[in-house]
Amino acid sequence: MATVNGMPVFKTREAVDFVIIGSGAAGGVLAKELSSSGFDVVVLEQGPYRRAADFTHDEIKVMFQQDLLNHPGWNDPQTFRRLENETATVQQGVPPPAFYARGVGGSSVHFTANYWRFHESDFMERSLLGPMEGTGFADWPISYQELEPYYTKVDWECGVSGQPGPFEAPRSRPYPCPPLPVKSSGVLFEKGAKALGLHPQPAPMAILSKPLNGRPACLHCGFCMGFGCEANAKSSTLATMIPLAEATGRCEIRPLSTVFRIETNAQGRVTEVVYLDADENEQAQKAKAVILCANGAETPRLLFLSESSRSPDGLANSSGIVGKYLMGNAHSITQAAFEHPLNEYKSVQVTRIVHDFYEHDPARGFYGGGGMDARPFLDSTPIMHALNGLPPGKPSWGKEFKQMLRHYYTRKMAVLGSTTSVPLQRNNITLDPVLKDDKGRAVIRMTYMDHEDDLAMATFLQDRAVEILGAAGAQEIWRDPVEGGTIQAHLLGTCRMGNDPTTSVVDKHHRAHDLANLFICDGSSFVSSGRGQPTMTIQALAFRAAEHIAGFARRGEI
Amino acid sequence: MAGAAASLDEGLDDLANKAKLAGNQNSKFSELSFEQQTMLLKGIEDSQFFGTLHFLTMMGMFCLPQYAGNRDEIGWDLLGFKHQHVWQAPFGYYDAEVLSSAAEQGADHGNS
Repeated sequence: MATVNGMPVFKTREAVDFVIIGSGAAGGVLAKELSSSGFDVVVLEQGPYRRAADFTHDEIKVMFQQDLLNHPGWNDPQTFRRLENETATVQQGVPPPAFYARGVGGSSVHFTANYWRFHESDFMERSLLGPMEGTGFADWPISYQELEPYYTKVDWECGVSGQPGPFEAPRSRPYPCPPLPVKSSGVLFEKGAKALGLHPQPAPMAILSKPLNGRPACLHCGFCMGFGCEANAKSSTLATMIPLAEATGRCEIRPLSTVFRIETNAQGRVTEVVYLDADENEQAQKAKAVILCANGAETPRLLFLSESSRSPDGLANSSGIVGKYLMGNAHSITQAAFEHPLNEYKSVQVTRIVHDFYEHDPARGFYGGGGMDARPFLDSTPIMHALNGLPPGKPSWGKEFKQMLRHYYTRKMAVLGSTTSVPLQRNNITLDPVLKDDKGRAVIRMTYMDHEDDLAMATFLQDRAVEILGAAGAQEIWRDPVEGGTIQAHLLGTCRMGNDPTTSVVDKHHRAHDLANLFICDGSSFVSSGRGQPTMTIQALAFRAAEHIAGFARRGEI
Repeated sequence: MAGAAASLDEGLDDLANKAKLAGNQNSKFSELSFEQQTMLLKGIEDSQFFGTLHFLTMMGMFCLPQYAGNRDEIGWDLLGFKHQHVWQAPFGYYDAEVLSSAAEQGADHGNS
């Protein structure tokens, strides 16, 4: 192993202990944990290696040119359709259907940082509620209790601010940082919810309210959701895990490295990972084991792209369910304007949440549960507000428009409802049969239509949001239409975890049922969707997976 | 983008022609009265040209000034948006209210 500027440079023709594909919420954790445990790790990341100083408040670049989302080297579009009997097309003028950031740190760089733990029920709803015909409704092979120590690792090692709420599952340690200061949206949401007898609580956020682990507290600049943090206060893996991984001297991060194939041999073992490097030269990194952490859309894509005569339906896909059961969490948005300025453009998105409707309630007449939060949502930045910020039916130009832009910009807030997603085979990631990217790789095709129960739950939360905002004294309240999602930032369930190799892709230690030295750990591992904030659980799974994988490696069981 | 530019050129020519007809001879759009301008724009507000112009106007009005729009932060002033990299609570009217009532209560109870 050579070093450059103190960083290791591994030879591609010598097998490293682990190649990790993807440096996001899961890949960053696994890189840090495994390199800290003494293993040699190469991380392949298709996006660039940005630092905090590279992040900006530039709406044009970030929100309109999709600077953090685009492939850095070439055009790599995606196609979308609602149902499998439709022909998928590239949606024009909107972000791609699988909405994820490319770059070291992955989507943890641009996320909003809501860090809700799952509840105990999320892991065992099939047992609690019984079967749902025609769906993939199933228990996880692990319990909340098994995952709790790793949720605590996320709290303390990545950095989460919060305060336990009345509905939260038991925790072994308090939050390392107190809640972030409440915003006006949080105050109003809390007031309205309390008036209705609900139990609002401070939002758990992966953003530091005080210095932790050598990182500074949030500066409340307001450019958070969709943007990278210029202060390193948002707990992305770029800010938390990646520097620790590199400090071990055993982890090489290779940015601008796009994986094309995972190669296997006749013995059914993964041998190397083929990728294009920053200069678009083909490379193949040999590895004793590969950990796929590319997200719930890129992970199944890569398994399909790695098909061979031994696995004609894609790698690790003897079950035939790679790519299926995609879950994105349904949402409803309710907006309101108040008499005085809230100035929601300042600070983090969310400071108060309501979890009174988290659990399934048969009295509602449909399956599901959800959480609600108060936030400015997408219109907190000036151009987004000017284009989308006014209530429906208002003018979009002229003198009156200008007056309204001013009136609403500082006085507006939203309540976001996030719900369960019923796992359905008809919702999936496949390779588009026609469209290729500029390098000839079949592109991601998403097929997605929320289950009617998911939309019913989203509407239920919107009805509650209207009541809460009314009780808080809103002057005006308006509803964004509740409809099937066409852009998914939560990419869950496409390589689900389970004990049965015929109905799941990975076992409860994230090892592919079909290949002893291939592990898959990211949102694709989910069996159920939770209530709309998955990243905390993705990272807890990654900490847990790392411990098991390190154990297997030490015992020669890979 | 080339298509959008062509549509802008055509749209501007069309607007100039309409302005000549609407006002006194050879008047420019900018020389028309507010009412005349408004009526003219209402007539084209569903066109692709207007849509492109509207989008670019919002970009130019509210972008970072480094793009050479939003001069002297005129767009941000219109909204009441202040661009700072650091803020401190209270952020708005309603959280300020909570903070000040908490401070009063603290004073009442003699907390230090």
